[in-house]
Parts: sequence; structure tokens; C-alpha cells
Amino acid sequence: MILDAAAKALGVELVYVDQNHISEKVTASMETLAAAGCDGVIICNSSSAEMTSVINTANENKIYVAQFFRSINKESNPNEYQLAVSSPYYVGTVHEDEVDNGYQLAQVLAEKGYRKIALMGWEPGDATFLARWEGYKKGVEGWNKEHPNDLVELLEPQYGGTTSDTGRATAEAILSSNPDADALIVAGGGGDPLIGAIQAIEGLGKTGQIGVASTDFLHDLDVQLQKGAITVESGGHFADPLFAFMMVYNAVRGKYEVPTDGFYEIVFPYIFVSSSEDYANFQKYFIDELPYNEEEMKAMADYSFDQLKETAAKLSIEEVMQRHSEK
Amino acid sequence: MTLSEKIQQLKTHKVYGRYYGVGLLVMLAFLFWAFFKILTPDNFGSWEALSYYLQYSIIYSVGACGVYFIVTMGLFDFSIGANVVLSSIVGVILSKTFGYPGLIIGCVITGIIIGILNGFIYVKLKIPSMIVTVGLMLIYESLAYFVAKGEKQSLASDLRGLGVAPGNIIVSAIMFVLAYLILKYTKMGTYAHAIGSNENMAKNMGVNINKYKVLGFVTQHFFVGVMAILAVSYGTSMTAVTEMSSMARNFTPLMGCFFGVAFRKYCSPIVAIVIGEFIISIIFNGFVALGAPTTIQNLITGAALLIIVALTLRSVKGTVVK
Repeated sequence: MILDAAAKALGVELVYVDQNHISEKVTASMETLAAAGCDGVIICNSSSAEMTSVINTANENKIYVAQFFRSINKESNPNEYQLAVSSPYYVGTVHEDEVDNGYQLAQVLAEKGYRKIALMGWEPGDATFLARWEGYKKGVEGWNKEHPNDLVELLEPQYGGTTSDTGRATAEAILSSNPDADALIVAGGGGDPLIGAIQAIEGLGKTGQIGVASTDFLHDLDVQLQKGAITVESGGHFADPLFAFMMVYNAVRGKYEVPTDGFYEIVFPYIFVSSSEDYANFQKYFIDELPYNEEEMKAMADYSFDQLKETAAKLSIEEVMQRHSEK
Repeated sequence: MTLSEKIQQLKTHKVYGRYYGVGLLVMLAFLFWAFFKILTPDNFGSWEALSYYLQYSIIYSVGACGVYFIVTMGLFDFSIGANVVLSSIVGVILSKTFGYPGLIIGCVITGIIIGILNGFIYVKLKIPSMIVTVGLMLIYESLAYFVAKGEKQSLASDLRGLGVAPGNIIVSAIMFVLAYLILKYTKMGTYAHAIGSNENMAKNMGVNINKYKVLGFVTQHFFVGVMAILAVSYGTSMTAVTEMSSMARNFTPLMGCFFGVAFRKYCSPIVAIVIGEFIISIIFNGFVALGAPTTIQNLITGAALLIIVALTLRSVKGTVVK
């Protein structure tokens, strides 16, 4: 929706291709879009390895490309990273800091008094989960370092898949195996595992007693927060692709010169919600109306990259409230 | 007398022989329970926990009862998961207007329609069931996506009674009895075994093969439709998936069904399916209690299944295994 609004504001024609996070489809989609005559592409790839073919296709067809929700890891994918750095058509990336996201969630749970935290992932080896897990561990380690007499324990992860029934079964298994666990982090998985976990906790009669932290907002998050079924949730990062769009838009216009010894990078902030009041504001300023209106999007299109980066970094519920209530 | 001869004597014993299969399965369930209970006594296998394991396993047992009708005919169906997704989504949407009747009828009727389509298309196209059902799975997944309009479908909180005891246990018990009755007392049950054993012979004996294959698909997907009711009531939401992602939902009912096929010589396959799925649930929960990684869980679960089935089906030397 936010991309459609930006495209409308700037007179850009958008074409969407669903690649279902399947590597060969990512490659094929890029070729399809190149053949269709697109000037630029923003892409949410499924693994960094795919970016070799994506960037090569972009170079061959002189199409600008930027990633959203994703980045190329320099350590684990050095070849792809180098290709991105040297490409005159790889504009850059907008991505979330998943380690920081995990860190913040673990910190909130610790601050709210939870001391034994169970962890449910969705797929072993998933890069996003691994980054969040690293953050949870850092958050707990950070807390324990500062509070040596009030330690928090983070259990090893179990994996609940991406459906609500497997999520519920896994959460039940985790909590019945660890009756003294007082919090559960449901790392993600699209929301369904979290719904299952909430049901599991309700079934055990422990709603409000077990702290629940997760990422990706549920549609009824306000109700769950009121019930005490969710303690803290991060999400609301749907504006991330807007910034990738702006980067590519400006590269196509020639406003952003794409370097051949680097690329543009924006680390996009998560929105954290831990009360129904927070959610009501999120609903009003992010869902009912978009966080950026038409005039703001038009103005954003003329920002320098540093201004764009700064705009992304400061996005929060409070910032939008302030900006839109002023007008 | 050797151990093998003693076991053979036990299997053919007038009184104990009929309980051999059930006894073996119960013993296996007990052994797995005891194994994990010894390793992690404080956080595994209490009565309350066992009740959760059972409630989770019966969802798949219901589906497995349906799958048994197709597998025993020598056919395969890869659209089980797609049926669960599509039926659940239709059921949840109808439940928003009609409450429980909408949920139940929506899931069951969708399941039956899928069964009819699968059966007719398989019979008419005369191509292997595996290929037909893979193609149809893709269609059902896409249909589910269109029906759900790409949105997650959540079951209202006052309509979740069939996801918890006693609702789920009552529905499952009814389905187990129904599956048992169909297998034991109807032509469908008898002919399913006959077709699976020797299709040509069954045909020569006057069995309308195509009719019973269609009926087999309908029966299977009726049970899978009921499984969808239990699954969505348990998990409370369903998201449409594409690109064969629903395949993951095929395997747990299929594994239970393998127990039924393996033990049908010694006991009712329905009993074997129910206990078999319970064993799978015990193993899953046991590994979670141990904190074992999922990859190890899958490895051990797969190996345990193979060992159980291999030991049970020990073939006579020279037997052709297809």
C-alpha cells in the first residue's frame, strides 16, 4: 500500500512479481522484470547467494536494483558482497537490525521481571532467526553483566514451524517441559506460530503469567496486549520498502550516483509496542493513515541520501504523531 | 524354542494373538515414554502432559484414518495438506456468519468436494495418483489463497471448543469409530484391501475398481476435512500457502497411516494409527523436554519409524517388496 501511494505521488508505474522466496524464482523474476523493460527493481530476496544472478542481470540490462528487508552479509557471502560493492547498478539495501531487535526484546522482558525465557524459532538455520537469536543472547548477557545477582536464563530454541497448530504444539511442549519458564519469545515465522503459542499459554491457564515477546504485529495485537497475552512486540517495519523505492527512484533519475566501490545502506528501525495505548497510536498513525502522506513522499524523493537515511532512522510512533499532529 | 518361535506362537495364540498388535504398540508407547522419563524425569510425561500429547496427536490420527483408505489401495495423495488449508479457510469464513455449523459444514463439504474432484480426475485422466494430486494440490493452494484474499483467517474465540478437550476428543472418537465401522462392515473397507492386494483379481471378481477408488478419495478427504476442523480449532488460525508449502502437512498423517498399514495383520489399523500418532507425539515432546535440536528430533523420529515398521513387517525370505 505504501509503495502504491509513493508510486502514485511520483507518477511511477509499479509491477509486482511474487517469487515466494524460492531461489530460482528470484533469479527468474529479475530476468522477467528486465525483459519487461523496468528501469529499477527493489527486491526482497530469500538468500544472499541469489544476489549474484540478480546483480549480474541488473548490470547486463542496466537496471538499478536495491534490496529491502535484506542485506548481503560481508562475512558469510564475500563474493556476493564484493559484486554488490563494485556494481554500478546495485544501489544499496534497506534492512532491519535483527540483532538489535532481539536485544531490545530480551531487555524489555528482563526489565519487566522475567527470569527464565524459553525460545521458539520457526526454521533451524534461517538467517533472520539466527540474527534475532544472537540479539536475544546479547540482551540476556547484557542484563546479566549489569545485574550479577539477578540473572536471566535464556533456554535453547525449539522450532515451531510456520503454522499455528505446530506453533501451539511446540509451545505446549516447551512450557510443559519447563514449568518454571516465565517468558516465551516467539521469534517470528509470519504470525501463525505466535497465535498458536498464545493459545497454548491460554490452554495452560497461564495467560498474563507467561511473558510473551515476538516480532511482526498481529492484526489483533491491541486485544492481546489488553489481555496480557503479549508483553512486547516489534514490527511495523512495512515502510522499509519505501526507502528502497526512493533509493532506486533517485538512482534512475540520476540524482543518486551509484558508487563502484560501495553502496547505500539504511538500517531501518523496528517499532516496539508494549501497551494497548502504543498500539492504538500505531493503528492511527501507521495503519489508518500511512506514516508519510503524499506531500511528504514527494519531498522525500528530493532528499539527499543522508537526509533519506536520517528520515528512516528517526521513524517511530512518536515521530509520526508529532509530524502529523503539527499539520 | 527360539525367541522367534515364541513370538510366532504368541501371534497365533487363540486368546493372546488378537491382542498381540495392540500390546506391542502399547509397549512401544510405554518404552518411549519410559526412555524420556528416565532421561528427563522432572519435565516430561506427567499425566497432564500426556493429555496434551494425546490431544495434539489425535488431530493427525483423524486425518491418518482417512489416508489409510487410499494408501491401502496402493495410491498416494499429496493434496492432504492443501485440503486442510482450503477446508479450514472455507470453514473459518463460514463460521463468521453461521458459527459452529458454518465451521463444521464448511470444512467437511470442502473436504468431500476435494475428494470427489481428486477421485474423478484420477479415474478419468488415468495417470498416477501421485501426479494428479500434486497438480491438484497446487490448484487447491491457489484457491485457498483467493478465498482467503491473501489474509490470515482467524477463528473467533467463542468457536474454538473443538480444539480443546472434551470437544476434540469427542469428535476424534466419533471419527475413529466411523473409520473402524467403514473398514469392518462396508464394501468400501473390504474392497479397499482387495484393490490394494491385487487390483486385477478384484476387477475380475466384479469389483467396480474406479467407483471404489473415487469413494476412497472421498472418504479420505472427508476425514481430512474433519482433521481441518480440529487443526484450525487447535491452532485458531490458518494462512493460505502456495508453492507446495502445504506438503509439510501431509507427512504426519502419512506416518500414522504407515503404523496402520504395518500393524493391520495384528490389530485394527485404526487402533494402530491412534497409538502410532501418540508415539510420534511422545517422541516429539520427549526431544523438546531434552532440549534436543529439531534436526536431531527429525532424524531420530524418522529412524524410529523405519525401525518399528521394518521390525513389524519382517518379510519372509524371497518375498517381493514393491
